[in-house]
Amino acid sequence: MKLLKCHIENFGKLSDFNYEFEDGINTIKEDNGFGKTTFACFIKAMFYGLEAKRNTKILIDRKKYEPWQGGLYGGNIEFEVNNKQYKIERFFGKKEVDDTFKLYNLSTNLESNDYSSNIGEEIFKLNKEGYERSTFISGQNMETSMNDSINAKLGNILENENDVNTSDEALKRIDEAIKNYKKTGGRGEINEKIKERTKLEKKIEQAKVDEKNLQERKNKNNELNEQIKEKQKEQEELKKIIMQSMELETKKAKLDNYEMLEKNVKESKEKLNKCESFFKNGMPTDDEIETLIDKCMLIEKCKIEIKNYENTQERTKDIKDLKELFENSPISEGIIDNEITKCNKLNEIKSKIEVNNEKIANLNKEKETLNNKLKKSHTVNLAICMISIIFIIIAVATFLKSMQNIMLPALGIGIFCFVLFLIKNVLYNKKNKEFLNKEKELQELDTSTKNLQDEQIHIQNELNDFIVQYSDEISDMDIIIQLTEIKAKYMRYIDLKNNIDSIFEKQAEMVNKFAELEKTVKGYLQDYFEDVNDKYVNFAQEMKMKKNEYSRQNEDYKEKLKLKEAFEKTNNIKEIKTELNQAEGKKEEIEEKINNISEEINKLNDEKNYNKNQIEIMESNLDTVFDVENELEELNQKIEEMQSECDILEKTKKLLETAKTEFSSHYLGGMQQSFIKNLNLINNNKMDANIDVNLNVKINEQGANKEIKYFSTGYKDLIYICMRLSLIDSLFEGEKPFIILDDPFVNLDKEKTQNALDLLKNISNKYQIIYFICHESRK
Amino acid sequence: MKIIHCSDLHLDSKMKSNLDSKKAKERRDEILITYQNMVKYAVENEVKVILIAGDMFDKKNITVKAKNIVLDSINSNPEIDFIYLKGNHDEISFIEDIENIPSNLKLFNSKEWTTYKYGNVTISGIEFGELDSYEIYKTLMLNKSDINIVTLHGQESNYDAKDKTEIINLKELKNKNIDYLALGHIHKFKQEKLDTRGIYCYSGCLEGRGFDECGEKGFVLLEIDEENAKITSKFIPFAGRHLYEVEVDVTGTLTTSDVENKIDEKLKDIEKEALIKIILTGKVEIDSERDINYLEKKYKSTYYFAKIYDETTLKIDYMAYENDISLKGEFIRLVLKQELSEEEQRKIITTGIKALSGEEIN
Repeated sequence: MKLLKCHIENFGKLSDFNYEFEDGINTIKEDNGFGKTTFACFIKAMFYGLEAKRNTKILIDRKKYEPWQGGLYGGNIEFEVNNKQYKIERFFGKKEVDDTFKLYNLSTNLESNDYSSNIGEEIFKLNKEGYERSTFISGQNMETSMNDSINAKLGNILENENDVNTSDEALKRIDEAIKNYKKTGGRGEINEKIKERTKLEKKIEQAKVDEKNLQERKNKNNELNEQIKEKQKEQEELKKIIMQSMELETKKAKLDNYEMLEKNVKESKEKLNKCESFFKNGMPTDDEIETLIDKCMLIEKCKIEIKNYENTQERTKDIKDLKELFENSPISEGIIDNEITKCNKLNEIKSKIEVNNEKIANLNKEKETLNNKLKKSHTVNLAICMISIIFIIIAVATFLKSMQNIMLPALGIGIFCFVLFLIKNVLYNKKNKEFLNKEKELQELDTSTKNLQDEQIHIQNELNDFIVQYSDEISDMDIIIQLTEIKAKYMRYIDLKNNIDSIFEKQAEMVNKFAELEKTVKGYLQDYFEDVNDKYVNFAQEMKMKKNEYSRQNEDYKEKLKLKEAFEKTNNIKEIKTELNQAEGKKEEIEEKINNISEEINKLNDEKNYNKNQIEIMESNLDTVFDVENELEELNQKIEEMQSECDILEKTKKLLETAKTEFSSHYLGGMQQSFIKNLNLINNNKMDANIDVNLNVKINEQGANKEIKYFSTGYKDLIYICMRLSLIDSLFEGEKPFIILDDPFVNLDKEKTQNALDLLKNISNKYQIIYFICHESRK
Repeated sequence: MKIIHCSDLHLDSKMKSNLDSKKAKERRDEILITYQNMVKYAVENEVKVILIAGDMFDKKNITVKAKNIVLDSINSNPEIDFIYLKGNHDEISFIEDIENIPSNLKLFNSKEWTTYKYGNVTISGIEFGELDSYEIYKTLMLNKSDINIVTLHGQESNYDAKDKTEIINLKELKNKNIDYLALGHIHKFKQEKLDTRGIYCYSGCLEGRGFDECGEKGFVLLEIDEENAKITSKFIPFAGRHLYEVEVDVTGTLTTSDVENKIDEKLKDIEKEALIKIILTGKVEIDSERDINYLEKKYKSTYYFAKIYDETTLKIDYMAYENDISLKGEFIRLVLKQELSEEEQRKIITTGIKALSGEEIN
């Protein structure tokens, strides 16, 4: 196929651009920035259209080549294929649906349906990516390829648009992912998880065993419960047998009743005997005991009386002294009262004297004051009188000398002073009279006091004479007290004097009576009590109590005996006893059985409780199994997922390896042949080369296979171009495409550039070549 | 009189939602707490009877803790009767292990119908296992004048079961004077007309345990007007957490964040405390990128639990690879030729492309 001409309406930076293609090499010399890549892309876009979908990694061409200046986006290209000429007219919108594609048959200028819009793929049998990767050879690519091995770069041409990732790397990555899951020696994530699983499975197995044991325990527990129920039933049955005979039970009750009565009689008799033992020396009558108590009371009374008399005797000495006192100086109560009256009078006199003395003192004081005042008044009066006389004389004198102006005041003063003198004199006389009265009063008081003192001495002497007869000492202060005491003594004397004789008589009588009573009572009590002391009443009371107790007990005994005898009359006790004795053996036997069963039940209960505890322990242990089961399930799922993922990885690896081998081998033969041919075109010496399935190139030079890395940089570039061209040969099995070269020989020296150009010339027979350069030297 | 009808509590049982051990344990505890809260609700609302229509537990060895919690709830609420019908999953050990069955725990048996009376309200039940269905339905006698509640545990059906499996023949229960047929076994709430007089109702489970038990869960509260012989029933949503299964069509997405946006759109009304199963469906481009581990991690951190299943299929245009002269093209053609399931093909192609594009392989 060959390109004829093109018209770019608008495409990237190119606008209204036309180009006519020639057969063979089309050299386009333009500076960098002209838009060589844009032009190349335009040609591709005409045949393959533009990507409409967003690519995940690179900006899509549709966006990239949107016309800078706006306007219709696209153009047309004319070409010849299979001896037919066509024109493709394509315009692009924002989206694929907005695109227009038209194919014209140039011989008719009518629209043709020979190809669809997928015309590129239909003509070249190669998709857009394949076309893109093979027919566009850029010097820039080659430059970067210098840093890497050529075979790796060639590999990329066959692989993907990413030139950093090779199939080897892809396989390596998958391998690593597989290794994460599976490693030799039982390692890797899957094996680790399987190991974990084994552990969990063991735990669950153990739990199953435990669960079985638990169930067994539970069954055992149920069995035990059944056994206990059985035993309890058996026990109840036996108890029923015991209770079965109602008659026997009644008889048993009767016997129990009789035994109770017997027991009561026996107990009562024992109590009675105990009471009787006290009265072993004879049973006193109740009257006897009452008399005894009376006597004891009398004894107590005697004791008190005797003690009273003893107290009277103690006072006899006092009576004697009083008798002596008052019989030597006989007096009467009237005499003593008279003396007391005197004493009172004496006290009155004493107080009068005190009053008088106080009055005298006051009068003396007043008299003194009055006297002083009189003396002073007298002097003043005299002075006033003198002044009066002087001024009157002056008045007379001035009158005489007709000194009227002096005379009158002098006379006034003189008369005033004289009047004053007269008034003062009257007052003086009055006070003087008062003074004289006080003096008279004082004399009267002195006389009265003296009389009173005389009387006081007289009475005092009389009283002292009286008191001295009945008292040892006399003092002024306690005369009245002494007189009162004397009166009290006298009154007691009179009282004692009247009673003393009868007291002594009664005392003697009481002592005799007491001795007699004590002898009787003590003798009586000693028959019943061992140690009798003088608290006879207490003993007598106790005796009465004992007697009462005896009487009561005796009554009780008689009553109980009566009941027992009455029961014996209505029941044949002997017969009942015989009957019950016969049944007793059986009952004991059954009771023993019941007891045995009770013991068995206890044992079973113990076992059941132990079992129950064990069940609880086992159950709480089994509680965790749930979590283990869950964990195992989780783990199984994880392992399954991992195995499935690993399986996918392994399958992917295998298929990728197969794909690589098949893919390489498919194009390898053609490529090698073409490569050797191209290689010999650029090299004067005949060379042989070998390309393996991994696209490793080895060049046979002088009989030795040499890897590319040992060649010079320029040579490597040439080899690379040869490889690319041979790849195109191999890829485009049908219609041959045009090749776009974007200044690929920049690194070559002149000789090699020429070789390369020769190569181009040679292949231009087969391919139409569009060769972009920036410099004449590479033309 | 108020009655709570609940069933299929499956206390202390295994979780079916791929929870890790810690979360599974947490959920088991939460289900026990919900049960306790239901009892608390009963106390607060003066409910006389809690009727449990089977499957309170579903295994032999219940943890001591669960056993104690249930027993304690019964013992400490003597004013409430716990009427408990054993279900097909209920093992006997719970009752058997109790030495002194509380007086307010009322049971049924499989030999005959047992009836508990509360004035003119009767609650009758029988456990399946011993009698055949003919005998079961024949022996059910109810007074017309009473308010009759009947409880059974089994799968509703309109035919007779020859064996003794847990099939409830609704036809046979019609015109038997039943006012309310309290059923257990199906984990989803369902209430329908039984006959002209009564209704039948599955209360559903109290809490969902797996993604087959999504949606609202709870119990039914019956309010009985004894004087006028009227029953009103109301479903009370009571679950502490909800489970959701969300299908997200990710057709057309190219990147993880595209998928994330689609999922976010679907999850916008779901509460954070929920357990979510996300199923990615639709056809995706061969070179589209979706990091499921990353997404799962993200939603696990947002919601109580999240699991993502990638059930997408590849949108492969076979023709597109026919002329792809590249290793990728060769590889895809080769994979598609293999006899592999569509899922395997998708996984292998995705892995291969990831490896070839230098992306990390999980």
